[in-house]
Amino acid sequence: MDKPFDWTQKRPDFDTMTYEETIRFCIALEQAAAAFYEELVQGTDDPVAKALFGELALMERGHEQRLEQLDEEAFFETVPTTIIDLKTTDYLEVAEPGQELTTQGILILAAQREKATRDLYAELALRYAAEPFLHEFFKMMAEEEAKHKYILEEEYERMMGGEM
Amino acid sequence: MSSAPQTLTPKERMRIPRQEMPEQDPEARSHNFDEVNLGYDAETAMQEAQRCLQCKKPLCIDGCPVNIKIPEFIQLIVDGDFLGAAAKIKEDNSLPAVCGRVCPQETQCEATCVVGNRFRPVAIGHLERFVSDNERETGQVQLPKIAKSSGKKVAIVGSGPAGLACATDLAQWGHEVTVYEALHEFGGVLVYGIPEFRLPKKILATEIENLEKMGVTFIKNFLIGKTMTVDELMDEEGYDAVFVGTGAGLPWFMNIPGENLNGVYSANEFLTRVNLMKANQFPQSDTPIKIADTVVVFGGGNTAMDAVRVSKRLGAKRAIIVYRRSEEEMPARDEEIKHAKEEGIEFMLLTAPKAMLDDGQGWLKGVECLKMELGEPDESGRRRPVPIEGSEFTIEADLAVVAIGNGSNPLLAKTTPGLKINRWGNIIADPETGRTSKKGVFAGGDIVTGGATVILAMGAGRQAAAAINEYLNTGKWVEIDG
Repeated sequence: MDKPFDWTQKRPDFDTMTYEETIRFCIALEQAAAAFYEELVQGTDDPVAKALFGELALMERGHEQRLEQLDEEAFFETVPTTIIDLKTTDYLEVAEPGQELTTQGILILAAQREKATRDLYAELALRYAAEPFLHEFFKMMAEEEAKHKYILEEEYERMMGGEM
Repeated sequence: MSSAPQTLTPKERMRIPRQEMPEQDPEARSHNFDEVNLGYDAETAMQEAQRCLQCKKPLCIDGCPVNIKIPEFIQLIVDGDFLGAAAKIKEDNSLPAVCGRVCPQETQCEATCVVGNRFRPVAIGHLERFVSDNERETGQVQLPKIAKSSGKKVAIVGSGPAGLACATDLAQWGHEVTVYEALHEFGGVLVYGIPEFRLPKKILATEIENLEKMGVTFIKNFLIGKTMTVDELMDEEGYDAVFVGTGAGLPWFMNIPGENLNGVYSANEFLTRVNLMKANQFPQSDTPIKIADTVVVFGGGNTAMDAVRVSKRLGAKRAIIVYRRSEEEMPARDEEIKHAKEEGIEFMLLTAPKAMLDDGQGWLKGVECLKMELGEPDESGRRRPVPIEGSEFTIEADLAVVAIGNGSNPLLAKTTPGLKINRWGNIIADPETGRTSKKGVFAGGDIVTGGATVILAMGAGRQAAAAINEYLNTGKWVEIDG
């Protein structure tokens, strides 16, 4: 189960997974996401892009840490927020595998990745509805991923300018 | 030419209504490619010029990206010295006939005009156009004095507004300037992007001729990065400095299903076929273009307005703008939106394309769209458009044009070692001087900023020219940050 989650494929059947397996799966998911952004940081000279992807990588590493610790006390100190879903990239196509990604393609890919992860955590929140801490925890994780999607879609709209 | 009028009080000046720009009749012009705006005559220009209050602290100058001395040139029009007015503008702007036509004055100089606080602002753009047209049409174009040869050579890559502005100043200061252009006509986006009905080609041709008279060499069909690299220009051709002003010519696509169907163009291709290759004259010209009954153009900028108005002139019965935001957010100039509406262009706002539909034979038969709504305000208080689930509807169309903006062509950066670009493909350059990460290479305009305006590109070209001049004179090179 430590194999990174392929976000383009059907998500795993959590009914057949134990709680520990689920958490391990989520950790691997966050590790893969952080590695994705870290690779983008390495691939650019631009300070703005470095900052954007670096910030997202750090956030994903933070998620990984939270999942590893699952610290109830620290968790309830966080203030929940509701993130607007711009849906800018929801209907767009990601490049075919093997095609060189443009900046536009990278942002679409990253935003759709975040959407898939957000949906996955939302599903887990429902699955653990009877366990208040886990329910809230996964809801919060879903919101965090929604925030990442928002950041990326904002950047997408900024890059494309007002003409789109 | 009329004699100078008596001095008017500010109240009297403000009482004069803004002089309207004469235009071709909308119905007639939607079937031809002749210029829409017909220009002021001398009397109208002098009347409009009298509206200027000659403010002690002229805010209009701050509103202009190249700080043209606006009240001074307007006063010269009032005085009947039209040639003097043209010369005054040229102290800061080398392409006034172009800027008088395509600059978004309503968001720049005219937006800060004090008259505009109570009435409609002074028509600065129309006046700029008048004096430069007058100078050209009367055959009295004054060329700047050229300094003694410096013995230094500069290559300008790209003949768009940034390159031309840079070339003008450098030639004036005595440097040997050569402009390299990839296409077979000079002018960059001014030629391939802006239609004849907004910017007649003869205007630009005159500007190029003037530069040639100033000693600038123009070389066309020469693609830097392919025909020759920047390093070869410097090491083998002996250029002391290179200015890169290649613009943003790589069109963005929407990445929706069906975008590769026949009958779907990028605005770049669509406009280049007509503006540069004269596809509207096919088969007299060699380049064809699909003639369609219904054309949908995606986007809300000037390029989208140009494309949709071109499609109308090519014979479309329905020509539609589809834009995902509201009219307020449209980056197109107010004048272009007004002209488009007058010509019968339909506007579908708060609408986004979801997929291009195939007729089964690989051609476009329609566009599936989604309705948008303005969502809850975000942290900055802005209400953003979001799709309404289940609001899909179809527009039957046989041609679609994607006009959602442009990025930079990666060719030059890829073939120039040491030239740093950002994640979005733009060259990283010092905003004040245009200095890049590579010694002797400067850059400015859309290749640095991403798609912006003609006047901003010209401003960047002039700033870079000053920095190049200093570099050539002192040999001093300061590394840029980042």
